[in-house]
Amino acid sequence: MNKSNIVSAISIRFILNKDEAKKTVDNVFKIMTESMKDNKSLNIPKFGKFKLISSETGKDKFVRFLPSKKLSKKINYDFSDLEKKELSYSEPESVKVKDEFSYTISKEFLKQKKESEGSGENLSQVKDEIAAGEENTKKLISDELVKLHHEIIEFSQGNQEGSNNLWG
Amino acid sequence: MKKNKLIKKIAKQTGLKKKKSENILNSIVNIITKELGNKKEISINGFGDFKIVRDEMRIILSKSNIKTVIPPKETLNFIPRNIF
Repeated sequence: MNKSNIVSAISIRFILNKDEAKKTVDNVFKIMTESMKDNKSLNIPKFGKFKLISSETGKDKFVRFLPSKKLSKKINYDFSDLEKKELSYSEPESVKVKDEFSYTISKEFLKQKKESEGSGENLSQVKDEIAAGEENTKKLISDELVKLHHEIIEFSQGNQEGSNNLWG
Repeated sequence: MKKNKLIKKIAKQTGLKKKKSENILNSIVNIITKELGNKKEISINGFGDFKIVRDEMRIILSKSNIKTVIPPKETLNFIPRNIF
């Protein structure tokens, strides 16, 4: 919107012809400017305050407009219901350090175990086995394999006794 | 300067009556206010521009590690187009 729109509106409202309206509107703004210069401030209630501020040197002057509360509210209408808010921060689950090592045993593994051993083992038994099986894990080769090895050697070497080998 | 003094000056300059001058001034102010309320900017030759400026939402962190959300805000800016 510019001055010509204002002039049109004034000419309609006050039944003036366009020239008269233009003169009047021009005059209004001219006098507003002059009054700002003379009095260093111009206050229009429910609209705002024009202040003439001079710089530190005193040479440069500029005008600052401070809108009234009513006008400020109207312009900030979309966000007028919002306020400052403090955020409360809580650590997300993934960042928290887990206290104990936890694992889940897959269903396939349980199935295989059941089939191979044919025993009615349940999940807790298997878990206990795995948890308590630290001694077992230290052995690199199972007892069965060792036994088999002995048998093979005995068979291949006949009945030689006192054979020294790592396994003897 | 207060509004009354301004009206007196307008009446003197234009030759219109005091009441009519007041009405005209009020009318101009109302038109500007209404247009700004509709988020439309106003540019007046030889006087200045009224512009709407939006400050976006931001989060500030205080020294004590408290985060505060500051909501967006729209404010009015006046840019003078006259030599003062």
